[in-house]
Order: sequence, then structure tokens, then C-alpha cells
Amino acid sequence: MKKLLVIPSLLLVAVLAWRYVALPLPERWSEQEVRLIQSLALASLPDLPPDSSNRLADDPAAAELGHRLYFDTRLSSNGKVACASCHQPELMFTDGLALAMGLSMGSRHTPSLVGIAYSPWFYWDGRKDSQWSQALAPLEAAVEHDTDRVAVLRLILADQPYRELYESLFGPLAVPDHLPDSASPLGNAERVAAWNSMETDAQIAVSTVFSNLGKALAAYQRQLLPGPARFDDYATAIATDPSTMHTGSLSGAEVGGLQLFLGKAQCASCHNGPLFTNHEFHNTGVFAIAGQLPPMGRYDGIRTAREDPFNCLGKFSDADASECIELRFARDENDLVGAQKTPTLRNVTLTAPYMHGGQFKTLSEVIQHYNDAPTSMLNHNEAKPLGLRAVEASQLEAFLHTLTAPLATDKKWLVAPDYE
Amino acid sequence: MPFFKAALTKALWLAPVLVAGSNLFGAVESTMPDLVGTSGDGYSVKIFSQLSPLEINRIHSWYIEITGVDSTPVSNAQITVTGGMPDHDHGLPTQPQVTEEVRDGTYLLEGMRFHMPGKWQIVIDFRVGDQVHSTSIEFSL
Repeated sequence: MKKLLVIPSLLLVAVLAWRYVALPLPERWSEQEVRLIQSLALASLPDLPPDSSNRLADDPAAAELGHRLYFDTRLSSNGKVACASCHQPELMFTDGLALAMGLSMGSRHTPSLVGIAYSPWFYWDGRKDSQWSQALAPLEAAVEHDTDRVAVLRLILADQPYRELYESLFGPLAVPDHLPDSASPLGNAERVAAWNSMETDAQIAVSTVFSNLGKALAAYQRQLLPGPARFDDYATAIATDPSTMHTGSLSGAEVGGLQLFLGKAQCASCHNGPLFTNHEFHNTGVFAIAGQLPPMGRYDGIRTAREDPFNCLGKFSDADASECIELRFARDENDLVGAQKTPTLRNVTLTAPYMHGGQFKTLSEVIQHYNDAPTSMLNHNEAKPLGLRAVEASQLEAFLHTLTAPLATDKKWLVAPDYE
Repeated sequence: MPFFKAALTKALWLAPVLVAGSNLFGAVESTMPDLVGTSGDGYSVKIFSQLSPLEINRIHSWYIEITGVDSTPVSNAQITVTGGMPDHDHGLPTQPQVTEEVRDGTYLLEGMRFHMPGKWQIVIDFRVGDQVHSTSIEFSL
């Protein structure tokens, strides 16, 4: 009888070992792996490229104005919502919610703003092509700030510190005659009617002020940059001694996770570069958000960006058309249906839940999703099943937790400004 | 002012092309193209990249130099550039386009970008008169 139990017992041990016992790591990284690791390190991050569509993108006074606007709840119809309400500094400029909550619940998860100034595209579907243009949209969205460009202009007019800062940056405030209290081409019927009653010159004057405030908000948000994390210390260590895999700054499980990240798990295919994102759009078969149809993603996003009056080629942009390379040569084909933007993995420990609709509460669920690579509800899933063992999934998760660190941003930008 | 800046940038960028023959993008020490291909009927295609060596996640331009079987430059070609990653079943992240022929047989391609490491395939189709030629170039990033 005992003999009969030996074979099943051995099989059980073998199965458990296969699932839960890590394979020994090699003695050294390959040359290609060393190159890839260095390409992910923060030391490889170039200086923030200039934004030719925003001539004040790197102006300190514009950042100061943007800082004030960012934390100001008066930029909302109920006086309670600021940019900082959803993009909270203590959560790496996210909110911890599946779906954003402004005046009411939004339709997308709040992405982190850290390092996002490096991206040529904004929103999960890339429907904005500059940070300043992006910053304008939530102000007029009914579920977010629910204010409008005329109401915002009136606030700047009435608030002396705002007005002085604005005029020092952009010149005298051009205020049209007979300005309604509230108007926008994008708001509710009342706001749209008020907007349509305005002369074209007045509309342009108001939208110019509005776009200038977006440029100030962008100048502030360009300050939000990631700081070196434990992974970066490790990358520095192996850069000086590339033959050493086990330097001590990462645990064995974390090193194993890094190896999977670069190889078997294929994460670095899209989460590449020092911000762990290629700033591109991919369909990875994430299920639709509960109660919503599967989104068209980048397919619609690029079309919206092209029609946006606040895009790089529009009259409110400071760029010459020849500088709008990303917009002019953007792709719009059918394989972008359902594609969402690759988010940064920097600080991912603090930015749960995950995906464009916050569909996954934990990194473990995200890894399981990529391990399964389910059929996409729209179009096709670019990812293929990974065949990760349980121990490998936990190693990968351990590695992802080495990417979180305090920001490389002056602390004054991380709290509401002192208005005195 | 932005226009002036852009024009100046472009002039500086093209200057080496005009004065140094095939030493494109100011690569004075080397005339080696970044990529080469040959069409089935013997046309030669040389790629000189603004970004050399090629790398991921940076939008940039290429010069495409086309010569015929007798090594003479091929002018007035209508060029289409497509590509992608065969192993990942997707195309280029951008829609690059030839925007001008900067000199006989040399064309400026704008809007090129790669967004993933791995094996890439670029297909260059070019129409000369009523004939269409094609070359496919594979490389790894």
C-alpha cells in the first residue's frame, strides 16, 4: 500500500516544485540584458525635450501660476474640485480609485502625471497632443471640474494675484465686451448657446486666455519627475561591474523578476526606456469597463486629436507646423481599435488600481491577465500567453515594487502653494 | 519666430547634405548607410538616419537614396514606406512620409519611430514611371 503512494506523492512534489520553486539564476547577465537594463535606468533619461507648442513650458513664473491653478478648487462649478483632487501628490498624482471622481464619476482611471511631460500624447487614447491642451479638457468636462473658459477668465480677472501673474507672463488680459458669465463651445446647452452668441473675435480672445492657462498648468506639471529607485541603484551597480548579477541592492526574487521582465514575460516590449513606457498604444485584451462598451481607444483618439482646435497645428499653439511631427505623421489604422496608452511603471506600487478603467486592483491581477492573454473584446490582443509559473509571477511582482521612489521634484511643488 | 527657428534648424540640418555629397546628417567621418536594401530588379536603396545608430522611442527622419542598376540616382520616385514587427503582428507606430526630394535620387522621409526592441521589417515601395519596385529590410533594435 505504501509503495502505491510513492509515485503519486513524487508527482505531487514535482508539480508543486514546478509551480513554486524558482530556477537558479545564471552567474551573469548577457551583454544584451546589460544593455536593456541600462536603457531602463533613470540615468538614461534625457533632459525633458522642449515643447515647441508652449513657449512658456520651461518658464519658472509660468510654473508658479500653474502651481496655483493646479490646487485651486475655484476652477470648478461647485468650488470643490481642483486638478489635485484626482491627481494627488501623495499617490504619485493618481487617486487610488478605479474611475476618476470629479463632480461625478468619470469614465476612465486617473493616470499618474509623473514624467508624463515626456509623452507626445495624452489621455489613455491619446486624444491630446500636448500637456497644455490636455490640461484644458478636464476643466470643461461635466464629470470633472464642470466649469468653462469664460468663468475661468472671470476668475483670473477678479483675483488680483492671478491677474498680475497672468499679465506678467502673457501681457494685458484682453477681455471682450459683453462677456457672458459662463460660456463654452463644449458645455451644456446653456453654455453653448451663450458661446454661440459671442462674436468670433471674442471667442478667440477667450480661448487664447484659456489656452495660456493650460500652458501655465503644463509648465507646473513638467516639474513632476521620477526619482531614482532601488532598481536604478542596481543598474548603476551592474554598469560598473556588469558580470555581477547579485550585487545585493536587489533580492534574488527581484533579480529573477527583472530577468523575466526583460525576457519571458516580454514586459519590456512596451514598458521600455527609463520611464518604462514607449508612450504608444496597444490592445492587450483588457476587458471593457463595467457598464461601458469596449472603447475604440487610439483609433478614435488620433481622430479627435486631429480635429482639436488646441492641437499643435492650431491657432493657439506656439509651434510652427514643421515642428508638429508627431501629429502630422501619426498613424490611424484599424489595428489601433481598442489600443490604450502604455502607462509608466515608475512608482507603480503607489498607483493602484491599474489599466484604463482600473480593472485590476493589484499587480498580481495584472500579471495574471498578461499570463492568460485573453481574446480581446474588440480587434485582437497583441499579447500572447506567457506561461509564467506561480513563482515567476511573484518574482515579477517583486521586481515591479523596486521601481517606486520619492520624486526628483522640489517639495514645494508637491503641496498646495502658499497664496500669501 | 517659430517659423524662422524651424527654417534655421532645417538649413543647419541640410547643410552637410548639400556640401558633403552623400555624407548625410553631417556624418562626415563615414558615408556608411544605416540600412541597405536591393529591389528584386536590382535597384539599390540606402538609408541614412538622422538618429544613428537607430534607437527606440525617438521620432526622427531618414534620407532614402535610390540608385538604378547602373548606379545612377533615381529621381521623381513615388515612395511609400511601411513596416512593423512580424513577431508581434503590428505595424509602425507612426505613418512616415516622404516630404521632398532633396537632391537627385535622395528623398527626405519624416515621422519615423520605433517603439519596441526586437526584430523590425521595413518595406520601401517606389514607383518610377509606370514600374513599381520594392525592397524589404530587416533589422533588430
